[in-house]
Amino acid sequence: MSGYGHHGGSYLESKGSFWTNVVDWATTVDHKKIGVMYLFAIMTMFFFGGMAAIAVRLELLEPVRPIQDAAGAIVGVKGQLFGSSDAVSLEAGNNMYNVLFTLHGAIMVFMVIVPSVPASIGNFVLPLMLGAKDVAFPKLNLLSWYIYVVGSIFAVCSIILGGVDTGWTFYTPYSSSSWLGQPKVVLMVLAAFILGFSSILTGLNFVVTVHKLRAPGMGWFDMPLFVWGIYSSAIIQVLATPVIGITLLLLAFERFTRIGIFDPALGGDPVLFQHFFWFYSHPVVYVMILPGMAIISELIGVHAHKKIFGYKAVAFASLGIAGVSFIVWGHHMFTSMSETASMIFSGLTFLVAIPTAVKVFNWIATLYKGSISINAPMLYALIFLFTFSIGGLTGLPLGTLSTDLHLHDTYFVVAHFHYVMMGGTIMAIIGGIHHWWPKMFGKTYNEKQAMIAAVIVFIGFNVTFFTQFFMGTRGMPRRYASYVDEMQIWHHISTGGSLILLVGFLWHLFVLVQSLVAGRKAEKNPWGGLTLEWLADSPPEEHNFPHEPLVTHGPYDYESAVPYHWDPKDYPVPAENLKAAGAH
Amino acid sequence: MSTPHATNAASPTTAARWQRYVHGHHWRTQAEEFDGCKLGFWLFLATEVLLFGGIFCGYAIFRVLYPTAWAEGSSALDWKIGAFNTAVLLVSSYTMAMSIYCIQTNKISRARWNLAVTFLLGLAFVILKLALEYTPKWSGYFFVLDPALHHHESMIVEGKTAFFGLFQFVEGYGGKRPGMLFTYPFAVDPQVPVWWAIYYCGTAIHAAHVLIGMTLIARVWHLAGKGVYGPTYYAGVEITGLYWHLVDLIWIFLFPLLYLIH
Amino acid sequence: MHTPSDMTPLFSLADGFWTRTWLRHPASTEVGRETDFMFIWLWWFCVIWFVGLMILMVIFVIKYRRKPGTIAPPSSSHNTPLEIVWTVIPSLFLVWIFFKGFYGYIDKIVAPGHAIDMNLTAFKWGWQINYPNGSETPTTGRVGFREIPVFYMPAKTPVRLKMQSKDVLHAFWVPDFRIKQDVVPNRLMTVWFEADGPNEKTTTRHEVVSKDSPEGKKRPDLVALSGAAYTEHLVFCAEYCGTEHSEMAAFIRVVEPSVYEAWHTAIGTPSDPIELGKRLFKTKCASCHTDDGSSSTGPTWKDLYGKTETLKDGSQVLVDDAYILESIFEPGAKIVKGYEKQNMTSFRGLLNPSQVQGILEYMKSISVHAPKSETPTQ
Repeated sequence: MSGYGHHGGSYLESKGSFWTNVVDWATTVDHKKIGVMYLFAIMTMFFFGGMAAIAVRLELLEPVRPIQDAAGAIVGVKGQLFGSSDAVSLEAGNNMYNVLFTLHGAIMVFMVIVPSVPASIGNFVLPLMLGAKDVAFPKLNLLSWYIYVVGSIFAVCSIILGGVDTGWTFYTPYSSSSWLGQPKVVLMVLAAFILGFSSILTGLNFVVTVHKLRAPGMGWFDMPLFVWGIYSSAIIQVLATPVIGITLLLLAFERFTRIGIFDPALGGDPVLFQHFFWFYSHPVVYVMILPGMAIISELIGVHAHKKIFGYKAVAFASLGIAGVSFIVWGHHMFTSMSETASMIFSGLTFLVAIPTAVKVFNWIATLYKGSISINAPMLYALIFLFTFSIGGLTGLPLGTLSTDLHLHDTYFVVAHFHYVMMGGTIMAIIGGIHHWWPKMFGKTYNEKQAMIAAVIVFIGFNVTFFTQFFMGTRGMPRRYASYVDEMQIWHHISTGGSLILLVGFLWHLFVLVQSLVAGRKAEKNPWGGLTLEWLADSPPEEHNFPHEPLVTHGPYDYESAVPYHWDPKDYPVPAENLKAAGAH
Repeated sequence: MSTPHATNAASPTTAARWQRYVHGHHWRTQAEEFDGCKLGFWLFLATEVLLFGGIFCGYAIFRVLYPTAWAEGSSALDWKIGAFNTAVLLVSSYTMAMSIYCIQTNKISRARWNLAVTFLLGLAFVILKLALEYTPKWSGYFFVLDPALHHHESMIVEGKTAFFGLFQFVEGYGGKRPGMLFTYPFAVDPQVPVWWAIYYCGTAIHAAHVLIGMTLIARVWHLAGKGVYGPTYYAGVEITGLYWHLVDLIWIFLFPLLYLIH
Repeated sequence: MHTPSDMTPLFSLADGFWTRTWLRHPASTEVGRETDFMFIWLWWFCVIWFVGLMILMVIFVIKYRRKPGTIAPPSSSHNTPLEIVWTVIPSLFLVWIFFKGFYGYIDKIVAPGHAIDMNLTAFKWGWQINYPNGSETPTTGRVGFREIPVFYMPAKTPVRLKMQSKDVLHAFWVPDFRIKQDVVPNRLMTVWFEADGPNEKTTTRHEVVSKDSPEGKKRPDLVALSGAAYTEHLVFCAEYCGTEHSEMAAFIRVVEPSVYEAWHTAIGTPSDPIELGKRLFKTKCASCHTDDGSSSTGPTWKDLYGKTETLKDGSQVLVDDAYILESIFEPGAKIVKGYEKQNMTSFRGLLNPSQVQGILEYMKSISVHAPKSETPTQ
């Protein structure tokens, strides 16, 4: 009656003709299919955002400068990417750069990193890990995917109409007073507003799923740490996103009616906008990184075959970060706030460092006396520890008031948040994709090729972004289409790194496509995981499990449980340790 | 799958639809599903509170910044209209609660009457809002109702239009809109338009919520007529009720802030 | 009063290889060197933690790599004292960093009572400083291809800038001083600095201009600066402000207080209106207009005066004094066809009548359409 018992085929199984399958996918309420659809949608947007980034880096090889003929008349513009050099004015060259970096920021934040882990991997893995058949509200889940697509279409429309040059932060009064006759800024603002709904619905779904749909025997502290991370970030998604909703509504209202809220020319207060904006956008930084940390906890536990050191500390650190994230937004505004407010927010900001540091210590302590296998997912976990530590530590001079006055709005900040967002979340999600790839598609990938790609990405990433730390401290402001000549060498190195990065990502794409086309059938539990998703088939059947799973051991009890589907010969747990294994 | 309309072969076909309701396949029991729905909806209500939190926060900050503008703006509103609207919404909350009680006690037709009354009271609220609040404020050419200008209507000149010509601005204060002055100190003129910005945003977003609530009420009224809800299954009505009470609650805060305290 | 040579030993950490790698050279203000110290201290703090963690990670990964057919030896997955230690020790460091940073910040924010006040205005896209006697700088410099204003500042004297923005958000950043402050419209923001004097390492000297040379007669300010040493610092806009954000720069040149005093007196004296107009063009208008006929954000001034322009609504207008005045103070009123998308900032309140007259005279002097009788002979 309740769905178990009929041993269904794989969820990827064809339902008939091509169009039957299209309709089936478009109307599916299966969390696995929705997760896969999210994965493809997000990767598509990642490609566009990445192309914008490459365009930005190429532009910065040569700053936007006029090319003058012998008589001093301007005949063209340097540092301009597309089109012929004669027709473009200096203003158009600058404007194109501004549009490109806005595009890159808006796509990467609103359409890639915020939804990335929860909506794709989270959607796929979370119910499986909990032993549930689906998320709490499957239809809502599908709706949130469609909302995501609609929001992305809005963003694309604004690009077609000429692109937005406000920066992804939409700071007023520039965003509320520029390009007034044109709808493109409002379209981008509405895109962010709509994508917020998608984020809220996903977060709400996950919170209820975690509360209500855990398998029998799974208490709160028997949950995998991935679930803790997703749960913490879901709470932030639910509680922070509405604030950006009202902020963007007010901004659109101000643009339509020219009535003052944020525009000082109309009596409004631009600093109020910054407060509203960062009240959402700071917590959302943790919506981006907590799921990344969640993946890393999983990767390190599984590939080191070792109980996560200080499970409760890591779990509570996730919740702690989620809580503290709501009270530190002011550190984005040290240069526009009062001294008192700056002092308070600086102090609170250092609070975030503590649970974050605890997590890193715990991960490294987990490696101690483990049984570590090096493969693409584990390599990414180690890359994450490297890059995320740099990202976290460079947060210190930014949280420190005196140094922040120098570093604010420079390339130092750019490098810092790329180390956290890209070195953190993106590295984690690539690791996560490889980790769960056999489960998602039932195919193995070429491990050696994937590791080579990982090394290329690692090198490219550090070359691209570590140089930017030096640029920032030496005096390069962010969002500059032109710069003083002494910076050019740094920009050249950084652009070179970004091209290496591009090669690395394309290499990954090649490995994954090759796996889909020609990969061997994957085992049910290739890594020897103890969490419930490894109990299911690869790929899982339509209702995930043939029977409702019963949880008899913790998610990382490698000392006392043989991994699902593994032969005890390969994993010789001493008899005195063995808990009632095989109860499933 | 998760559709509530799936018929269970074991149930007699003569039973009402609520008696035949089958919970979603991924839930263990119907009670758990109901709990889950309620938890999810409370979370959604939290997002609504935070959405309006932005408006209230803006209200508080600008009130501190421009106290005279706030006094001037709010005294231009008629508290009697606001009070009447409050009464309308309070009564509608009562009828909404009654309809849930009636469903729980299997008095479906009384429940539908209560829902209908709730819907009509919501409609009354919106009509009052448009007829007595918004229209008069727009009719004098101006979107930004400025009391200073209101008292000297001869000063009203046709200004720039906005929003597809629907609204027009008044060029007041000697040819300048207030706020256009860039001199320091900035608070040289009452920033009354900011007050109206908060007023219009707050009440308009609230009115949009009333309309969404009315749609939900119409939906459960329709479904109740088909016998979908009954004592063992009334999640839809419960959730609609929660939403409607929240909409009322927000008005309970908006009313004194906008109309009563100057 | 500190110069780099008598820096306290505390700050010696902030003047070495790493300072020069990270920050180009030590800051040119004492509070800036406090920041340098903090930054370099944090650098080493981060390096020690990071290298320590990474060494542990690599050792663990190599030492405990998987051997097939075995499982990890039992080891503790929880150690309360250790966890408390690694929570509390970083926390104590953070408390120290916070206070140290806060004191440095207060030093940077709170100006001494005897600081000289100057008014700074930020606009799309440029900076303007009104000196205590109300005058503006007549000098421009070049960075890249762009003419940007040069602001002279006295060394070893605290200067406080009272900053206002005409339009959108800007941020005043002098990397060499390690100070940054947003300029928010409708608010008065302040920033202060006390720059080191020009010293042997960093100094350039002005050209010698004698009082009696033709140039010296026209530009008394050049005479005041004649042969004086200066140290140059770049000013950037650090808050995104639109299309030409990256062009919004200026120079600060620090000279000895006595030289500054002479220069300050000299710029206060009225000069030739065409020269005044040219100076204003370079410091305020050249970010969008040109005076050589080439195209830019706004119409070129070459041969503009006296010309008949077509407006965006198709009507014609003669470019005369009245039209130019209106365009300066209410730029949106009559926009020339082809420039509909541009959004010039109003200069109301930024120009006094004699400056406006100067601009008019300068435009006449570079236009063939201008009535010859009105053009003063040069």
